[in-house]
Amino acid sequence: MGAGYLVETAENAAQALEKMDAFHPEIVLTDWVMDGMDGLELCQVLRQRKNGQLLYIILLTSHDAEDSLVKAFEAGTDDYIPKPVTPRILLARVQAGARLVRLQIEVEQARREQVERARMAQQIQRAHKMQAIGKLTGGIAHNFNNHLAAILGYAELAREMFPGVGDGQLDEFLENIQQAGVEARDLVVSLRSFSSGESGSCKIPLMGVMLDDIVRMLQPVMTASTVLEANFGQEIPQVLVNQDQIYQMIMSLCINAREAMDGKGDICLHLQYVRDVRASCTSCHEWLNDDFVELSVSDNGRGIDAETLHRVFDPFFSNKEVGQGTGLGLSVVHGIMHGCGGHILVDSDVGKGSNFRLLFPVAGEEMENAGTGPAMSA
Amino acid sequence: MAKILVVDDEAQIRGLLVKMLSVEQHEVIEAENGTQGGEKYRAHRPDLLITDLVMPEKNGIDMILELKKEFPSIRIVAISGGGGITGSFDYLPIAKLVGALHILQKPFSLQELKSAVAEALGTPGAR
Repeated sequence: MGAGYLVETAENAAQALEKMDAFHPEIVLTDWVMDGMDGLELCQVLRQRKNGQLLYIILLTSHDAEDSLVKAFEAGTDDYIPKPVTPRILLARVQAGARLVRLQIEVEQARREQVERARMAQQIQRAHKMQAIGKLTGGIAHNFNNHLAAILGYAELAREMFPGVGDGQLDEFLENIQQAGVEARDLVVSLRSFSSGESGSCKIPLMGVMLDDIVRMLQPVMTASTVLEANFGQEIPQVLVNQDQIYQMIMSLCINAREAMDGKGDICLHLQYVRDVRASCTSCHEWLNDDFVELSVSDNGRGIDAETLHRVFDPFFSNKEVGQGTGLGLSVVHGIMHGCGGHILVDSDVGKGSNFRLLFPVAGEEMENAGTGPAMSA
Repeated sequence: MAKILVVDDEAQIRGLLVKMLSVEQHEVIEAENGTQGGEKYRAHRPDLLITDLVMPEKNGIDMILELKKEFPSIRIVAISGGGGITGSFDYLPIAKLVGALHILQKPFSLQELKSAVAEALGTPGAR
């Protein structure tokens, strides 16, 4: 056709459909009357196939009676050119179509950008929220530890300095104070591991054997109708972890899973090497694009709706009844995972179950990358 | 028996440390912040400095850095509730880096304090 358009031709509707996938036209000019499938049928098929995508269809026709034209527009035609077709009118109609197509592309692009901006803004807002909560809990932990130091210290001093007072009753009372103080201290430790992501000092390679042991220890915590399945057989690259923290995280996730299934169902633990993960971390919302070692805990419980999922890592957020849980389990998981440079992905379907995927950075690759760095070109 | 300077902005904690250390027959001097702590260290030249880290006016880390320059063999035990007043930053490992012989996370037990003090005092060093 010239005039700067890229053109592909087809002899009939079937051939046109065949060429569509490779050529991806924005404008289709088709005759109405053709052997086999006619132009109107082609139009209908294209509209079905290109569901929602951009395609401007111009019908060439000698059926210019009102009924025929209405039928053509109903079939999905955007414009028509009555025969005989002159080059000038053809070009003018195509140009009009191209204008509309460009406009549509711009509108679509703007819409996409707006959606992306909204998604980014939401992600940044959530990430800020987690940071703010981290700061807040760090501050709370600091002040609580000061008060607890006084409570526990004076109770201990009193027991040491005045043993046996009141037939030993004072001892008993002081012991109760100490016990409550120790429980509060443990709670603060959990809070701190959320806020600072403390990774612990003693790190050993994560291996299936370690996880098998943990699962064995967890069996008694599960109810009789909970099936705990584990699959740790796969070879994985080296990941350094703190065993206590792994235990703590698996325990939290398994207990949550047990609650989500009302004590009846299957919990599945799985260890695998996952390459090229492209997703946004469910708790810190950072965009991930890397390989990880994934330790997942999945259940077929009631699942978590999207709204709740945004809050599950917040400290003291709990679905359990008051007194049933601390609401710190997942906050601790968040703290531990981010403390070791890892992330968390959560897939959940309401009514079907949840899958908590702990993503650990691969130790070896991290060191290699640190050693070489990206190549620079002069 | 040793002369020990206790620096903490919380009166309750200072009181507790004074009591705990007095049980062990130590002589205890108190200060409320880093500025006061530095002055009292220079004036009394104690055998040991036990200091909190997050404090108003002058924090424990700055005081340690200053005193460490003047008295390179100073014996220090750092204590902290972990994290800052407004954040999650942990100063205890920093205290260790800048010269504290021992660090104690609050809340600590009497026994933990006793061991830290005994070990710090047992560490060779000039006043």
